Amino acid sequence: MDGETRLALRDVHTFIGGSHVLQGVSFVVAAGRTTVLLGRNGAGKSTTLRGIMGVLPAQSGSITLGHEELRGQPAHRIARRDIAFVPEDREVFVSLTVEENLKLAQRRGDPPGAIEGIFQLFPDLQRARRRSAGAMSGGQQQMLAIGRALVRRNTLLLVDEPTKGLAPIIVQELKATFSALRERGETILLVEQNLEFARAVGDFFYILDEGRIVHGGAMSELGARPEVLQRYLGV
Amino acid sequence: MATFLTLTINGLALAAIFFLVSAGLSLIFGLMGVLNFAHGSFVVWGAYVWLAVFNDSGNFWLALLAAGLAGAAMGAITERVFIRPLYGRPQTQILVTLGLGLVLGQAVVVIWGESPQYFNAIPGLDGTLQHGDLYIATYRLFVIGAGLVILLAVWALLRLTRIGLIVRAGVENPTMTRALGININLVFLGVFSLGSALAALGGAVYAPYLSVTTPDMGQSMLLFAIVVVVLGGLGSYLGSALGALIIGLAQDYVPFYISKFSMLPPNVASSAASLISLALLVGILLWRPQGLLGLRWPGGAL
Repeated sequence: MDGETRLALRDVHTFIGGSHVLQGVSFVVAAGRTTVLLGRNGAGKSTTLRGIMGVLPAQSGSITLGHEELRGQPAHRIARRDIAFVPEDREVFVSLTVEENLKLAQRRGDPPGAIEGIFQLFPDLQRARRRSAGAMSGGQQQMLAIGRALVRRNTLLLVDEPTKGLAPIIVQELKATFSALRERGETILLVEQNLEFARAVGDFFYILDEGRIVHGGAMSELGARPEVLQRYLGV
Repeated sequence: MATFLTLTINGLALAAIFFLVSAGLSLIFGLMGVLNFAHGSFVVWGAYVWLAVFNDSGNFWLALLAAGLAGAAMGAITERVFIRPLYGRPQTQILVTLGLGLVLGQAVVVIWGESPQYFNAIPGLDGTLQHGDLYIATYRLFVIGAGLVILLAVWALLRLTRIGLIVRAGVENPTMTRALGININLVFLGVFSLGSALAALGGAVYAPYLSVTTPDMGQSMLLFAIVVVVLGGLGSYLGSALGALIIGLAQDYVPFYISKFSMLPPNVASSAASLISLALLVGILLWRPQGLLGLRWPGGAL
């Protein structure tokens, strides 16, 4: 990989209950690029993202952002390094309005107008700004979850399966959104099961299998490896 | 009609006290998942701190302020020392808060003695308003007003400020709130402290309502507060107000009308009233297990 490394994981191990979910995960995320983490259900993709965010702490190994060790820090400190998280089930606050969800992501001293910027990016959210987030469709909630992560300028954006359970037309919209984010130079680590989506928006890929990285490279090389796709992704 | 109005005002005053005690219990449970069994002892401490300052200074308002501050301080210490190391371990929390409640209750006996304590009338609030057959103790009107003021103040805090926004988000999903860069431990500390201050204020307001303080005045209050919170919806702030209103009024209406229409002696009617209140609670919970205004369990809507 060329370019500066933004995030590096080295030999990360995570246990959940008695099971050894991440068994020495190592990879890097390049600055200004979109890196996609692929793999079957249960391979440890979400656990990896949650470990970086600190909401499901890893037990050993190192997770560094630039030169700073993130592992062992509480989630709110990690978030204050300008890392944003779009979790697998969106986890928008359903008892708050759309606008309140976005306001919550703002911090003291942030420039005003950030929320208006999100409304320009997702006009649907503007129309629903005073509605309860719980009353929105799955696709709109996904837009809100992504919008909430974009309220601030990020050094790293972690996104867990944004296309999960959404209609094809919404997936097309998300594709445009992520392409635009890539264009503007966001650093993104994306977990995705939808291979077609991953290839459309990703620069680099890694394949996670049974808690270990088994393959990685430029996204353009992925199509040339049918045996890899067959073996680890079942396509 | 006069009887009905008197009963209603008494019931509302009782509801205001139930609300003060149960709002904190509900907020703390909703945000942190902690059922704080020491909450009742904060009520007693509030009453006794109020008593000590009132006896000393003769200033009712200063005594209320002292009780609220004492509750806030006790709540903050309790969260930091006893609750924080035990998040995610509810059984241990129950044992620890039960134990703490017993210790704090005994401390009241050690400091102020076991016998009931009486105090002077409260200047300006000890009168009775009369209108025809209607007699209303001024103090009960004050209690209703105080309950309303605090209901609105805390509602405004929760609805109109950023702190309130964070608390509402934290009640729904503490993990995601953390992932937005918010130090939820500080929020926990603040809410625990506020909830305990409300309980202590409840105790301070309750003492002149009873015209006496006793070391066991917190126990029945804790039970009522738990009923109110479950009825209104765990974690729901307005739910605790609604629950307090229902239980407060029921406590006044039911025994009176049972004894009036059944010719039962008052003490039997009072037992029957408790039975009816509990039956009401069970009925409502069968219909809405999450409580009247609770969204989900745990968590819920504010």
